[in-house]
Amino acid sequence: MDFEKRYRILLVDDSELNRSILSDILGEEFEIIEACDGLEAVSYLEQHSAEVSIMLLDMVMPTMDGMAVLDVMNKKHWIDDVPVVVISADHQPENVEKAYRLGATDFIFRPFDSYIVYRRVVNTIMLYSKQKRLEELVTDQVYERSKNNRMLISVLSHIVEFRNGESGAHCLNINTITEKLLTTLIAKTNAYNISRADIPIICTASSLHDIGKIAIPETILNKPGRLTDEEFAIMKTHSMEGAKMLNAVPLGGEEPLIKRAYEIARWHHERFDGRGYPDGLTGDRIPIAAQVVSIADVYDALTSERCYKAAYSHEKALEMIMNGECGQFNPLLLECLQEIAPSLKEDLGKETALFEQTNKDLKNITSELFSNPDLAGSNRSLQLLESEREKFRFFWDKTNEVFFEYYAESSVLSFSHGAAYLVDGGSMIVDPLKPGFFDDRLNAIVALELDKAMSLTSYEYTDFKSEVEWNGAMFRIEGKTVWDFDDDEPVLTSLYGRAYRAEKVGADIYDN
Amino acid sequence: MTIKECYALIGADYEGVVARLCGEARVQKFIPKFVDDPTYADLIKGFDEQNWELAFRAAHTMKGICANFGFTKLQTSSSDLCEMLRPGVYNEAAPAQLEIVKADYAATIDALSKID
Repeated sequence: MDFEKRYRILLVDDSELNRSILSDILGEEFEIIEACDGLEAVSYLEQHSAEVSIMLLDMVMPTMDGMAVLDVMNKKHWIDDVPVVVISADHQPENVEKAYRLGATDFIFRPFDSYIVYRRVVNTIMLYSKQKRLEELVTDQVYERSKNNRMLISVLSHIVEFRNGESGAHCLNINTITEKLLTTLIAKTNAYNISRADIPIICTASSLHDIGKIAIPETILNKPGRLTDEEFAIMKTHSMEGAKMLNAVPLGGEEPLIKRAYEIARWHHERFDGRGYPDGLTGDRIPIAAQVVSIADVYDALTSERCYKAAYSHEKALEMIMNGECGQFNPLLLECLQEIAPSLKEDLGKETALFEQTNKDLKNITSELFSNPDLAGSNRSLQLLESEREKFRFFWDKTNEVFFEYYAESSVLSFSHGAAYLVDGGSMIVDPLKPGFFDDRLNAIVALELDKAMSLTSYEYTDFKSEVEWNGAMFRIEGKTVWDFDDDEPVLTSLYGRAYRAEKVGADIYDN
Repeated sequence: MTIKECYALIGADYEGVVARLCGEARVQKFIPKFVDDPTYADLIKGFDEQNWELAFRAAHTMKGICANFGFTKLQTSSSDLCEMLRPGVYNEAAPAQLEIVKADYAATIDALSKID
């Protein structure tokens, strides 16, 4: 067999002699990385776990022994992707059992036979790479189906944000923080009964946390100064309003996404000591998803500029949250926040493109899928995603604002039904960028703006805004472009956004 | 002396090692490495400094290496020593067992030095 060093073996043994014998057996066909104790192995995995095809692990080593390495690999979930074959002279059954329990794939006793070591390594690598190929196949399918859902959710949350005068990054930031907090939390405790598959659902649901703000008058939302008590009372109704909207989704109550979105919308302003709103829940009576999103929301609000305040620094925001200046939070979550703080500062600085987010979620979904012995689960997940898609179609259809999305590949520009009714024509325009294309419907005007939008945005700066005159009124068009990579070159794959009458932001554009 | 004759001299398992390492070439390649290997020195150091963790680890490594090379006697004596040093079960017979390991090691090294 010839593997042309396509696979990498991490060889962990404190005896140089042992390493050199194994290198000799395997080095011709595999790339070998040697580590002389557990600590070296772990620090290598920290950077390169994705590149290691298999690890050969000695048990008795100084500084950090084989069991401790397995322990760390479990905590960091590397054991899910990196198969471990233990090579040991220790035949004690309790140690063998313990290693298997900690996720070792196989055991080779000394003295070992070179040919058998070689075969076991080959077989283990083949088995894992076969599984990885399958995993990729499913990931691709799931990705295709969920991409559009994410986009529709994103459209919805952007409506809320634009109206609120927030930057388009708010939801993405909350997504990122929520994911980091939850990942850190489930590494600490099982008490909240959250699996890795729940994380992308909660993150997606977090985008809808402020959906109730649609019901709050613009004058209050964007008031530059302090709110009066009366105004604040109205502002506070947004959590309950959001919950009501989500509750009204037909059959939504059974769906995990809607259930989580409901918890988050209703209780993301509750505080651990019961001094939040609307229900004054205390402690863990506040659902964990809402607890996590409330911290993410507060952090992002503090570090962003708003119409009523300047942005605080990362350090200041952290200090204010820790000191309870924004209300009391779950101490365990504050611990998680401290742990992720350095990476937050780094990651939130850069713009996260939507598809990257989606990709990350899918990795979670599929890994959960494959850690389930029953592969039939994959079908069920696809169905779930399909029904989510249906739901977002529902929102899309019910709104009266003009939403549009454009897919570069098919060159189709489509509009929400409300808009199609308004503009007297189909809800779709094929090839809107064709030179010479012109008519005077609003959707056609939007189509003409696309060209400009595409030249003004890039992979780094995805948001665009412009104004056009139509039937004697000013319309504002705003949206976002989505990019993918082809041979490291960013390529525009799609674009979405909305058009509305400039004088009356957020209102139905044909109600007068 | 050939490797085979050397193995016979110390009662080591020549057929076994050739089969395991798939040929005499690899045995020949690694025997000088056994002579230079620091494990024996670590074992002595562990006893000198009463560092029982180091001594256990060295005895354990020695047992594993000898098993691979088919040095049956040294493997048996170091394996016995290893059990006496296993963390938490230090045994007063260990120093006497070390003497046996020392003798087996000396005999092994001596025989290996005679290979042409």
